[in-house]
Amino acid sequence: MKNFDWITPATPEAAVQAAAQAGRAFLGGGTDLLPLMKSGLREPTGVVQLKGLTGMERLELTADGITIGASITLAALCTDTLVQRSLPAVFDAARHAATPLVRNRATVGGNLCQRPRCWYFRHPDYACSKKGGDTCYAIEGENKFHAIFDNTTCNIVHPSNLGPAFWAHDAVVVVLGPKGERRIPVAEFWVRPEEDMRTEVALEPGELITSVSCKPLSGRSGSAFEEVNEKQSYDWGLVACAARLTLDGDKASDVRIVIGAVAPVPLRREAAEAVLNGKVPNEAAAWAAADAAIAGATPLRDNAYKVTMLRACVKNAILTAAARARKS
Amino acid sequence: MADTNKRKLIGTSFRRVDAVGKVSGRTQFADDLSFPRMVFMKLLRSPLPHAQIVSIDTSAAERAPGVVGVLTGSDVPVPFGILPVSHDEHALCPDKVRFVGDPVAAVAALTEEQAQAALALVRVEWKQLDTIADYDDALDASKDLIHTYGDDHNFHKKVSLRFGDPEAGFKQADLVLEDTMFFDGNTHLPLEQHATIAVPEGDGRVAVWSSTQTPHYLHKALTKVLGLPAPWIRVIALTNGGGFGGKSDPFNHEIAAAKMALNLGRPVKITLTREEVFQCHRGRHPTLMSIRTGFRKDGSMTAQHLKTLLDGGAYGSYGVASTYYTGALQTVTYNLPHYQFDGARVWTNKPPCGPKRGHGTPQPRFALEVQLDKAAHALGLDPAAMRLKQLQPKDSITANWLRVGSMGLGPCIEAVMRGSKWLERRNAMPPGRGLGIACSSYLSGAGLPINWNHMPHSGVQLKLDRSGGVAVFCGQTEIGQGSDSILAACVAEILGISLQEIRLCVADTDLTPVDLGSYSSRVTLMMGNAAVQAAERAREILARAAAEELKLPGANIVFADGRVFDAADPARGMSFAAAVQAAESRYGTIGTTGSYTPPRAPGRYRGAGVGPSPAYSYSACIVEVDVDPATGIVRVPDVWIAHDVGRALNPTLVAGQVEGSIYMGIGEALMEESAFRRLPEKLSSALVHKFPNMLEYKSPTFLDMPRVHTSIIEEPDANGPFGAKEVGQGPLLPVMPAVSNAIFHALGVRMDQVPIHPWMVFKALEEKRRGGVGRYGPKAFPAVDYGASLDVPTPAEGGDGKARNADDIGVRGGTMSETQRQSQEKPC
Repeated sequence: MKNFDWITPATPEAAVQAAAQAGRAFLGGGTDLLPLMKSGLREPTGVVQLKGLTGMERLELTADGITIGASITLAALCTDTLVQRSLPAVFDAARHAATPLVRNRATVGGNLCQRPRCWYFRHPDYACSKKGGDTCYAIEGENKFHAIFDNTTCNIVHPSNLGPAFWAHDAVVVVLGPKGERRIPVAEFWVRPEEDMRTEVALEPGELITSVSCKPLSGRSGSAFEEVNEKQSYDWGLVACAARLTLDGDKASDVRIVIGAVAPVPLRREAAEAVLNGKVPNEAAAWAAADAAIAGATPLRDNAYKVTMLRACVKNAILTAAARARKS
Repeated sequence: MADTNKRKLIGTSFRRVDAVGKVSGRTQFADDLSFPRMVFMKLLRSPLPHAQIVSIDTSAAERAPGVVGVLTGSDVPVPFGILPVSHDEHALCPDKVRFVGDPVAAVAALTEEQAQAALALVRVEWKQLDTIADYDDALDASKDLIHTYGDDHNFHKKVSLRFGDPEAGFKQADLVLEDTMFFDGNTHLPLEQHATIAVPEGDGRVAVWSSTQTPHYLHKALTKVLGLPAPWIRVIALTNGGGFGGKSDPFNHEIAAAKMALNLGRPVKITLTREEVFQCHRGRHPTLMSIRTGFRKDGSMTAQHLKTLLDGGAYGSYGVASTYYTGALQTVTYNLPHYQFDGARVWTNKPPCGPKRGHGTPQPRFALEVQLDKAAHALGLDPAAMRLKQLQPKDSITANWLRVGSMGLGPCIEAVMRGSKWLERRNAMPPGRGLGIACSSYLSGAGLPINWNHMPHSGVQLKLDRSGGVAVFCGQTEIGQGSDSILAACVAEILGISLQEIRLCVADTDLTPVDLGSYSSRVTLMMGNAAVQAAERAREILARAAAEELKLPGANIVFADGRVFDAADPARGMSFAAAVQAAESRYGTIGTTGSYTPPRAPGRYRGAGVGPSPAYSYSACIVEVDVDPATGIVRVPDVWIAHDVGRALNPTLVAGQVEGSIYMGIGEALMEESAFRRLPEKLSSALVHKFPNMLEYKSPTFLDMPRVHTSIIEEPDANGPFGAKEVGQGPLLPVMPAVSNAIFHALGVRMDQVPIHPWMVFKALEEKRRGGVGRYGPKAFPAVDYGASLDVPTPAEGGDGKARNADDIGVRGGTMSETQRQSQEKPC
């Protein structure tokens, strides 16, 4: 790791100003930036730390819904009763992430901005397409953890747990940049490799996520986030799904199904939502929706298992969300 | 010896002597050491798996900022290796590299960063050779050779042993099963990375402080490569932050650091990165196996033919022993009247495999225990009861001439059956739940030393001080297993003093008598016996002096609670210190020694040296699994394990080793694999580790750990100190087959391979749905010519332990002949 300047601004505005200089990077919990620096993938000349910036550690019910400051840690998120009650999918997603040690450091903003775990991307010796090269080594290489959807140009899967959960709660990502504040609906927050190979999120250079606002549950509704892991901590999910639904009588309505860890960005599965909308969300309906969610998968040589696994994961997420809605 | 009931320490969970140091952070590991004027060394490692070094130019690196010294292969041309039959490694490769990570140059600089930066300035010109990636490449006779010695082509070693008449045995069988199985490689993953500091001591002497399990063997390797008189070299092994077999070889970085220190006249330190630890490896050999066993209707075995093929990686390491070990211990658990074993190890361009916990025996144990489960199913028998009916008897000699002493497998099986409610629960499991059983056995130390000689395997020296303190000197190495505590407790118990009166001096080749090292589960038994002997000799001297002092000639003098007294009248006695003073007044300075040499084994055939042990431990394990057929994920909620340790010298330490074994076993069963991948053609097609870090090398965490229900079974063995046998490795072995057997019980599919990943479960389920047998595992075993078998009559056949046809077969290859060794040892 190379030496760098350590910059400690007091406000988000000052942080954005400090980061305007070329070669600088934001540091939230540092759980992704530091490994990237250690492996030589990022060599910032200055690191702007985001701890204690005004307003970035709030977690409250506002007119926008529930506003979560970008510097809130995953540990805070998965111990908060408001989040547990109103954004259960977000609560689950934070609780499933990493380990207690990592969750104590890792922040909401960092979780959305973390770079992919693809071992070709992470290895300094591979000039893969994501790093400006002309090849995705995973297409013909070792791809058991790679994408099963949208995987013709770059096979990463997005590692964020919160991404699908936020989307299930119709989140808006609030960012601050040199040109002022922007509010990005979460559906527009993700950038596919075909749009821009070098990034996964719609942040302009120097822009900082300050908060995320989510739509809380209301009426008889429930949400859930499920993931399937080989290891129960210190690992990323092999497949993930966030689901939200409202009960209209005993029928599901306003369904959201968002899958993670299976494509370069989280994917909302509207076809699966359509299958479930208007149906009693029982096991049969959940499997039918899950079938719709996996339709169109294009697995690679080593990851067809993820399709089978995803089907079960989507079914489980729907059933958990439905059970919670019935109890609400 | 005092009665068991009267023991104060042995048999109790006394506190480890290193506990306070460990938990307070005061224990010094190798990387904690620092010396004045110390410089830092880094190794330039090969980026290619197999290549000739055409030229190497270090001039730019020598001029780089902070650089004080550079070494290449020509500076350390003498080869070394752990086994005398395979001295095939160099501290720095002189002419060719054999795996990605093989070191070719060493740079020392004022800071580690400067050394690292200078490595990039070393220019090496390579000529690439064929990459031998796997069995197929290794068996392909058109490919380049990795070594010029060995059995034939890229075969390092071939073994073929026949005990009795297996074909006759198969004819007696009602059922013959033949399976092909695969056990993937995996690595030790000690938390402490290897570190070494070499300190020149003037007069051409050098001290090497290192995280090694085997200071004695490192001393031998340093002596050979540095070309110095052995007494000029001092090796001190620091407490290891975990070893598991990964620090049992002498390593290139240790030798390079010593050479650099001697060249520079200043201390040289190297601490490996995690990536380099993966490259040092010496882990579990990936092993393909073909196992054919004949069974009678009652489940008893009539004969077995086992074939193994080990992927050895780039160097010999312990490989010859590893190869034999894949066959040696198949006979010690259940009666096996006729047995054929064919084993072979191939070279590949990967980090060398070696002795990981269980050393060569977990792989064939997996094959045997899974096949037993299949036989029980086919014959309609309870797999636990079927095992109980065919136990190898205690005090017996097996078909391959291993002498079994105490044998507690029966009580072990009964304990886990009771604990898991096997009989009640097995036929009433909810969907996806299953119970599987497997058993195992392991050595309490290898019966023969690595360098063949008649000297003791362990020595202990005591110095009794007139203050009442006892200094204990022994070459043994604490690697976390608690050997320091066992050493201190054995002496304290015999002398009736507390652990506070013991001062240990261990693992220092200048100061301590040789103990061969912390490998093969040998320390408690061998060091323990040596310590007991040394302490008993001291007790005899003190008792004589005390009896005289008390004017009680011929009295039964007892040592307990820091006192030395008359058994008949405990009030008549003195303090331990007073007894030492009485002895010192009469006989001068008081010191004693003890040593241990294992008994001679009955086998007399070539290869009989691998497998014998003074005593065998036994384990039985029942694993419960919870498998979700929709996700393929296997969870292990509970494990019941019973281990026959002979005598638990410290039950807490025993339970700790058992639980650690379960942890490692769950990893080997479900996650851990030494996976490699080829770089894409455009990047050189080199063979590299599939991510050498602790994040991508998946091993269990707290949340993956099952509840472990441990039963300690005590069948004391006459050869063990206080009856003790090993516990460091044996309890690992049954975990992997028990998981596989439990998955069969849960889902009806067979996993003939570990680790077991979700996609394997899916594949087996899919095959079953299509009407197949429902199995995941290797399809076929390649055609390997193992050569003619040594034909060894069994004890039941009236054999004498020798092979019938030894003269016809003669000495086979696979090992370095004297001429080869000498030619390799010539400086380039």
